[in-house]
Formats: sequence, structure tokens, C-alpha cells
Amino acid sequence: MSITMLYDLLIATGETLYMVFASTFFALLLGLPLGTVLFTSARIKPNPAIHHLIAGFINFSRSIPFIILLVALIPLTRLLVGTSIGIHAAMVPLTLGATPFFARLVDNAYQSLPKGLIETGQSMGASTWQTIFHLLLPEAMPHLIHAMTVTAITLVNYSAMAGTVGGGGLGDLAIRYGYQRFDLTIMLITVLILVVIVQAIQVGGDKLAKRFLHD
Amino acid sequence: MIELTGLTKTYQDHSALKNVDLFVQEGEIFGIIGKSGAGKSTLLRCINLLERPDSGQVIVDGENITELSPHPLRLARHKTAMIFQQFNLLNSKSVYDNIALPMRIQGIDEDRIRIKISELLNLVELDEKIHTYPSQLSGGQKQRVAIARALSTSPKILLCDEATSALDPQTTDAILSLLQKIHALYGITILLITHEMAVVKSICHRVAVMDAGKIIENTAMAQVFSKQDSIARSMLYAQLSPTLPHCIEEKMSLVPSNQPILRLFFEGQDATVPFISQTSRELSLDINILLANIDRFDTVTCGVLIVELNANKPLLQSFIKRCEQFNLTVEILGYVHNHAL
Repeated sequence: MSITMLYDLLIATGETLYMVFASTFFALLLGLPLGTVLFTSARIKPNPAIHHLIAGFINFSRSIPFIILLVALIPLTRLLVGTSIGIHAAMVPLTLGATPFFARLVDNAYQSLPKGLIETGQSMGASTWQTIFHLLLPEAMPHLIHAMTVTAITLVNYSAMAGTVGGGGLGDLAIRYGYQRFDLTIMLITVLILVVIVQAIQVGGDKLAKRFLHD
Repeated sequence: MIELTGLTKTYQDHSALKNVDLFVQEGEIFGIIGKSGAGKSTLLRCINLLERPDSGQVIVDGENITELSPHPLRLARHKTAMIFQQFNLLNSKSVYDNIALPMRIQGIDEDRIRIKISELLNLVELDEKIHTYPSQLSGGQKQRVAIARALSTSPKILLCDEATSALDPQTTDAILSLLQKIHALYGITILLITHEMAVVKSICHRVAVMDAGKIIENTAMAQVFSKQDSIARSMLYAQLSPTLPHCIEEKMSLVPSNQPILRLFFEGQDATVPFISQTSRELSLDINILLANIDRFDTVTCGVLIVELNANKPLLQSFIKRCEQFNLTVEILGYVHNHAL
């Protein structure tokens, strides 16, 4: 393996990490409020119209295969980033693909909390915001961190797919060298790096969740 | 302090409350007893509108809270606090932060919170657990923390939703005496629901019996015994009365013999008279005591005895007559044809 190859691998790994972490961050930023509103509109301050709208949107966007979303969002990506190629462009479909997924996991996290929790907040005269910030979020924190871990790992997967349409990163490398040039070594190395990244995210997520778990 | 009028609540096809009226005085410990599904939990939840009744009024401290919009309702809820069967502490927060929660919701400053918490932890005798997390506490300790949390904002009313049902008998007693101590200290109005007569018996001033969505009886504890047909009274007796061991029960039949098994209830003054030995002497009757229990409810001592007599019919009649003279309630449970034991 040549020095340039090693360099390419290093760059691609950096790109993948950057894509995964940045799009995880944006997916959290969008998905946490979305999932919280989804749950709140059903259980804390019932609003069937909003609830069904969000639930419908989440189900709709989750049913689109990511590879199709990737292509379908090209006009939007151009509008936002100015180009449809490269890691920054890839972050648009990555974020939008992961947001509804994460939002659903957030809703699940809240639903796994004991039924009495919301009642407890209400009995104290907590407002909807207070219920969310003082009761819901702290109690759901370990579950939310797990949801974040799952989302980040899904994004590792998605980012490899984004690579195939010129998104850069390890997926791109694997396709160009491993698949198109039959370079088995590169293919194996990319897979190995991906395995290490996924492991690291999982272990890190578990450790972080444990810090919030008091039992 | 609490006035409920014409409360009705229906879930789909099941009606949980049927036109319920209830009045709870300030400073009272009021118990609502009933089987599960009787509607008592729904009734309790109507008082802070965790459940909204379909119709009827909920007046708490002079304010009809069913008419309030969300913000004033939240303020009205600051006057009532609630403790739960499952404690409902936040696992993510330490004892300190759990107790601080309602105060933070009300926007009380941290300095006052700190002072209040040390005072409350002292009251519930958990000072050393201040930085512990709920998962490291026992059930009784969790309920103590929940009580401290409920009291932190100095509410006027404490609602207890089966607060001792998840606890063992000793812990139940400890929690009940804590509630009594709090009542004596702060004069807080306590409304509790339970399915255990023992709970009502030990701390309540008044008791309401609920069945199938209705309050079927509402009496002061001190008067429960003067009412022969009182449901609460029969529940107290049922609780007092031990069940016969299986080995005796299987020997019993309804075919009369010279060995009847009787259950005697006695209460008040009669409990202090040595009735059995006197009767045995005067009627020259052999009385074999199989089971006995005695307890004190409010100011009234009462007891139950299950006895086997060695008596033919006329002797049995005179025994029953003598029981009635002494105000004992007699019930023939059956007969044995050899000895019971």
C-alpha cells in the first residue's frame, strides 16, 4: 500500500467521522424537539392535530429508502449548500434522514418512563415546559443517550451510502477502490475502520448513559 | 376545605363516579375506603383535576377549580400535594433534588430551598440520605422522601393515593404515624384512599365507604360503632375477625349437634367484663376458646371470640340470651360432631 493510499484512507476516515458527528448533532437538534412535541402533544398537553401531523410526517419520511432520499433531496441540498457533491452536501440528506428516526426514538424513550411521572408533575402544578425540563428530560436522559448512539451508528451506515453518490468518506473510498478497482485490501481496511468507529460510538454511548443512570 | 358536588365520570362504557358528593373539613384526616375499581382513585384525582369529572363541582379552599383556565389551575394545584402508591420519585435526581422539585417549579430561591430541605429531612428522619439516589432507598424511605417532597411547598391539603399499599405492615405503621405527626404539626388536611381498614382505623377522623362509583356511607370514626348497620363497622369486624383454620372448618357442618361453634363480637365497656368465665360458672357450661382477637379503634375497644360450646339446645339458647344481655353480637358458624380440635 502506497503512502498516497494511506493518506486517502486517513482523509476518508476524517470525512466519515466529520459527517457522522455533524449530522448526528443536527439530527439531535431537530429530532429532540420534534420527538418531544410528538410525545407532549399526546400525553402532556393533548393536541391531536399537531400529534397526527408530526406522527404522519415521521412515518412518511421514515418509509422513504435512504438511497432515494439522497437523490430526491439534491435540489434542496443545492439550495442550502450550493453544491450536491462533497461531505457538506451529504450532510443535508444525512441529517434529514436521521431526524425522523431519532424523533421516533425520543418518543419511545419518553413512553418507556413510568406512567406516574407526568401525573407527578401535574400534581405539583408544573407547566408543560417545566414538566419537560424538570421531569421528562432528566428521567429519560439515559434512554435519550442510547437513542443518540443508535442514531449515530445508523448514520455511519448512511454516510457510507452517501459516499456512493459523491459524498466522500469511507463509503466513497470503498466503492471507488474496493468495488470499482477490485482492491480487496482497501475494501477490508475500510470495513475494519467502520467496525472500529461503530464500536467506539457504542462503547462511548453506553459509558455516557451509565453516568446518568442512578441504579 | 374540599367540597365535591355531583361528580360524575364515565370511561367509555364504565362509569367510575356516579353523582358523588363529599365534604372534607379543614384539618381533618379523611379516609375513603373501598375495593379496587370502586372509583376511589378517580375521586381522589378529581380533587387536583388529574382527572377531569364529566360533570360536578370541585371546590378546593373556596375555589371552584373545574372552571379555572390552565394557569390559575396550576397555581391552585400548589395548595394540594399528592403522594402515590409507587412513590413516583425521580430516579435521575438525588433525595435533595427530588424534594427541591416542587419548590423549583414554584420558583422559590435556592437558599430557602436548602433551609426547607434540611428541616423536612429532619422531620422524616432521613438527614443522612440527602445525597442518596432513590434506587438506594427502601420502600418506606422512598415514601418518606415523597412525603417530604409533598410538604416542601407547605400545601393545605395532602392527597394520599394508596400511599401504604406497597409497604409491609411495620413500614405502613411507621408511615401512618409520620402522617399523624405531620397532621399534628402543620394541621394539614389529609385525604387518603385505601383498601385497608387498618389504615383508616389507625389515623382517620372520618371514613367514607365507596362502592361502584358511589359513596355508600360517610361517618365519623367515633360513631362507627354506635351504628349497628354501619358498613365501616362490619369492615372493621371483618378485619378483626380471624379466619378459622382449615382443620376446624372442614369438621364443621350445618347439622345441629351439642357442639356449636359461635362467633362473639364485643365492644366498648363489655370488653372489660370477664364475660366468659362468669358465664361458664353461672350456666355450668364448658366454653372452649378457639380463637380470639382484640383491638382498639379510636376510643372503642372491641374484640372477637370464636368458641366451641358443649351445650344442648336449651343451654345454647340461654347462652345466646346471656350474650344479648351483655350486648355481644352472636353468630352461629356451624356445628362439630366431635371436638373441633
